[in-house]
Parts: sequence; C-alpha cells; structure tokens
Amino acid sequence: MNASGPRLAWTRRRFLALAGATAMAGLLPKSALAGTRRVIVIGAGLSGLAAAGLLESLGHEVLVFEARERIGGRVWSLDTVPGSPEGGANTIGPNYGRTIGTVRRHGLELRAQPRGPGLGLLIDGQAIERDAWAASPLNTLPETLRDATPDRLASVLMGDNPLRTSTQWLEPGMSERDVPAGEFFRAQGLDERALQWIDANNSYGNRLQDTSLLGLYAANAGILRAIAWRQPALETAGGNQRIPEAMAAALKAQVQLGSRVEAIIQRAGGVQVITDSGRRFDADGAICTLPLPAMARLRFEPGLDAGWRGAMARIEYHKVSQLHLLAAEPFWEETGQPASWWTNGPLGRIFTRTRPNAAGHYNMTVWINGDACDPFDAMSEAGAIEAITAELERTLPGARGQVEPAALVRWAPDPDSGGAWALWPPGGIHELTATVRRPHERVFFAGEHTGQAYSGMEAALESAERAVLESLRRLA
Amino acid sequence: MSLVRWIGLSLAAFGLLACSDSPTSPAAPQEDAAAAAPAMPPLDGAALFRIACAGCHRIEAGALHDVGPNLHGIVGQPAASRSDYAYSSALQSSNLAWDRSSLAAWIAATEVLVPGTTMTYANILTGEEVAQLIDYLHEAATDH
Repeated sequence: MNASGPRLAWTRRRFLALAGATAMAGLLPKSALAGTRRVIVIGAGLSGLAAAGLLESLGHEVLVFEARERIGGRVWSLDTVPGSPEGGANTIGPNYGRTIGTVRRHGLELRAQPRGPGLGLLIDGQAIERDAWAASPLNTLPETLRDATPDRLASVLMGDNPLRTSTQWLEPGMSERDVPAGEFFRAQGLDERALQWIDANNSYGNRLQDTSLLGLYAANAGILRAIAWRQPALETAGGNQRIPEAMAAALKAQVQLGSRVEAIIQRAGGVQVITDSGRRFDADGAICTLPLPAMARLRFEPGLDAGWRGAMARIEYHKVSQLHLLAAEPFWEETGQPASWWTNGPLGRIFTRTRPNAAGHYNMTVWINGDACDPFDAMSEAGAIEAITAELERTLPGARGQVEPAALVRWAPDPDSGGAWALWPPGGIHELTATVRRPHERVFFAGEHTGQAYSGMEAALESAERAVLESLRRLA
Repeated sequence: MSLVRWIGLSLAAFGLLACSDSPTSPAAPQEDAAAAAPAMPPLDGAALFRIACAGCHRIEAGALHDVGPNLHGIVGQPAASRSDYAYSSALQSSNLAWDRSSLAAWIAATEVLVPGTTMTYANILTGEEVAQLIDYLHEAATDH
C-alpha cells in the first residue's frame, strides 16, 4: 500500500486536473436554512461517514474530505484480489450493534465468519499438537502453567481481570493496573522465552515493554463481552468496505476524495479548512476523524494545547503488515496439518480460508504485527513480497510452489493512517484517552482511538455519536 | 494504475464536474459565519434519541428489534418484557421496572445498574439531556 504512494499521488493530481480548478469551491451553499449548521468532516472512514450521516439526518449540512482516493479509511477490502480479503477491519462482533444496524439499514448482508478447526502451533519452527504442548521439551513454563499454549498464555494469566464494566478502563481508579505488561508477566514466573511468545502476536503494543497491562485487560474484557452473546463473529458479504461505500452513497454530500486537509483555522465564530490544493472552505465547526499520525500533520490555528500535543507524541499506532496470497489447491490437506498457524517466528500468524472463494482459490493472509513488521516495512514493495513469500515457504514447506502473492498491505508506513489502531502506553490511559476526545474549540474529534466502550469498527461509530452531540451543543 | 482504480477515478471526477455547474465563488474566508446564522433549534429528545440510541434501537410501534430491542412504550414496563427479544439473563432477573428514575440510572451506567447486561454503553448525555430523552421515550409511545 505504501509503496504505491507515488501512484496515488499521480492519480490525485490527475483527479484534480479533471475536476477543474473551481469544481471543489463553493460546494457549501451560502444560504443556510434556519437553524442549519455547516460542519466539515475530515476523513471518510466509518466514524466520519457516521458523523456526516447523523448530522444530515438532523438537518445540517456537511462536507466530507478524504485524503485517499477511496472511501473507507481502515476498512479496506482488497477488491483486486479474488475473494476480496480484508486488508483492514475484518471482524464485526455480534455485540457491535451500531455496525450491524448500519449494515442492515443499507441493505447489505451479514454472514458468519468462517470458523476453521483452529490455529496450529509453530514454536521455534516446530509444529506442535496442542494436546502435546504440556509435555513438549520446548515448554519451559512454570508447572502450574504448563497446559497454557503460547497463544493462550496471556489470557490465562489475566484470568483475574479487574474490569467490571466496558468503560472502567478509562477511570483514574484503574491507573495502578496501567503498568508495563511485561513486568506483570515476569512476576508470574515467565522467563524471557515465554515473554517472547506473548510479544510475538501482541495486538496491543508494538513491543511488550510498551504494552499496558490495563490495555490488555480492556481488550480481553471486550472479547469476553462479545463471546457472552453466544453468536458468531460476522463479516459483510462481498467485503466490509461495502459498509462505508453504502454510507457514503446515502449522504446528500459527495465525499471529496483525494482532498487532503492541511490546516484548520478558527476565528470569529467559525472554522476554515484548507486542503492541499489550497482551497478554503468555511463552516460553523469541524469533526476530525483522522488517526493521530495523520492528524499530526494538520496545522491548527490556534494551535492545539500542550496536553493534546503531548498525547500525539506519546500514542503509537499498531504496526500491521499483511501479505495476502492465493493457493490454487488445499495443499495443507496433503500433509494433514492445520491450514492456519500461530507462530513465534517473523511471520506471526498465517490465516487460511479452507473454503475456496468464488474464483476457486483459497485466500491466505500472513499477519505480521508490532516491531516484527520493521524489516519488511523497510523493504520495497516487491522486496517485501518476495521476502515474506520466501519466509512462508520456509515456515510451511507444504506451501512451496503452491501460493501466489496477491497483495501487500502495510499500515504503519501509510501516511494516511500511520498504523492499524491506537496503542496506549503504560501509565497513560486515563489521561491520554480523555485528551484525544477533548474538543479544540469548534473542532471535535472522532475515530476508533476515541471510542470508549468498544474497539474497532464499533468504536468508530460510537465515537461519531459523541462528536456529533458535542458539535451540536457547541454550535447551537 | 489498475483498471478498477481508473474507472473509479473517472466516475468520481465526473461527479465533481457535474457539481462544478453550481454557482461557485473563490471561497474567500467567511468571517463570522456562525454569528450571522439563525439560532439552531435546541437538541430535543427526538434528536438525542437519534444520536445516542438509534444506532441500536428502533422506537416506531411495531418496528422489528435491532441489535437492541424496540423501545416503543418502554416507560412504565417491566425490564426485559418483550417476548420476542433475547435479553441477557442478568436483565431478565433484575426485577426492574422502567420508570424515570430507573431509566436515568440505566442510561447513565447500564453495567453498573445491571452487572452482566449485554447492553454496553458509554453514556454521552448530560442529566438534563437524559431527562429530555425519557420525555421523548414516553411521548413517542403516546403520539402514535
């Protein structure tokens, strides 16, 4: 994705040239109806589109700017790959009420995510049957933990989750748990090898020493709440990107693709937004839904306060790099081994759909996360594809000659996201989560990172409700 | 550039060109935009319902349940009383009835009032707005 930057830049220039010099000016009518407010929404991901839709449904005018040439932000179905695998948000929890409601209201179809037989374990390159783990010579866990497989180890050790409600993780009283997770796990008797297992596929930090124990508790509790519904995890038929596309199509406003906002200027009771083409748009307020690394490049006048600037400096985004592949045959059936794997090696996890897609191929995703992405993110696109494919064939000899790379997705180097989702550094959760929700005069903030009771897609939609309410209170 | 991207781009550009027929101005900064604007109607109960509840709940009489139950006529009813909605066992055994006071406590912190409920909600409303919302929940059932 990042390696196609020059290509995207070219398309944007072409787009603007086609659009003409004045086409984007004056899209906001000057004569507002009585009581109507004009709000500029920055970012056409789920949160921006939800905010825009809510505002329009309440009779207000919106203009939506999106830097990319596509709708959806971090919801991104790879439609150039047979099966449209998800390069971005992939799971709709059965408790994601807003997301499910949005899908239904737009006439889209939900389906259960296919459940495979579970992930095989590849530890130090060796395939280990789950029921053989307790007696494996690779297992150096303390006696009381020997049954815990490396992929389950963290959740087993967090069995005493102190969080009783979905928002308790945000409360100051939880700060004593907001400590480096590695220290907690070490105190439970884990050695460095076992800590590496937890670190290997940790989705809540780029490395264990910068991972908050409270953040892990919050994520764990969120998963348990979803499980409590006793219903399968869901996905959108045809790809989750159909959701933001349908949301955008239902707006009265046309999303301005390829329009990167560079500045938000506030003076005299209004805001002015300046895009990278130099055009200026006036409104009563703005809702900024950009991920923080992308937002950090925005110029604010007046500038953001010290708390806000500090938060942007401290909050990292999760590194996720994926290679999507296609297999012509179910090669894993030859060996009788699992189709999907959890590894503590450089590739992280390998997910395989064991039912063929409509084109008859089997979709595979190599899912690398955290600092393990660094070597691959530093390579050219072609180099990374070659290196990951070669490593996959070393890791799974049965895959040799059986898989074709189809798409590389690298979230961290993408300037419009800077990573897959926000990570909360140990010791910062209470303060930082409150800071990134705090309005800046007539600018309000939404996006996954400002969610409270949810994560992922549902957090994006949840945050839009709050930002719309805040904006309408302020602009009344 | 892929063909798909190019087609998408062309369509997007076409859409914008169509818009360019509308009156345009150099988009000079508009000072004092909001000060000149008419007063906005207050956020009433219906608007609050749309913002804070309608993501998961319907309120029209007879409408199907969403992920959350239809709330038509909820005020005055016992909790977990719709026969065709699968409530959590926690709410079913709560023995609550939805009056103004219990609804306000529920909206403020569902999981505190009924530990184990599957309604996970971070309240964004002020106390005054909650009162307006409850008025609306009541009125929406009597108006229809």
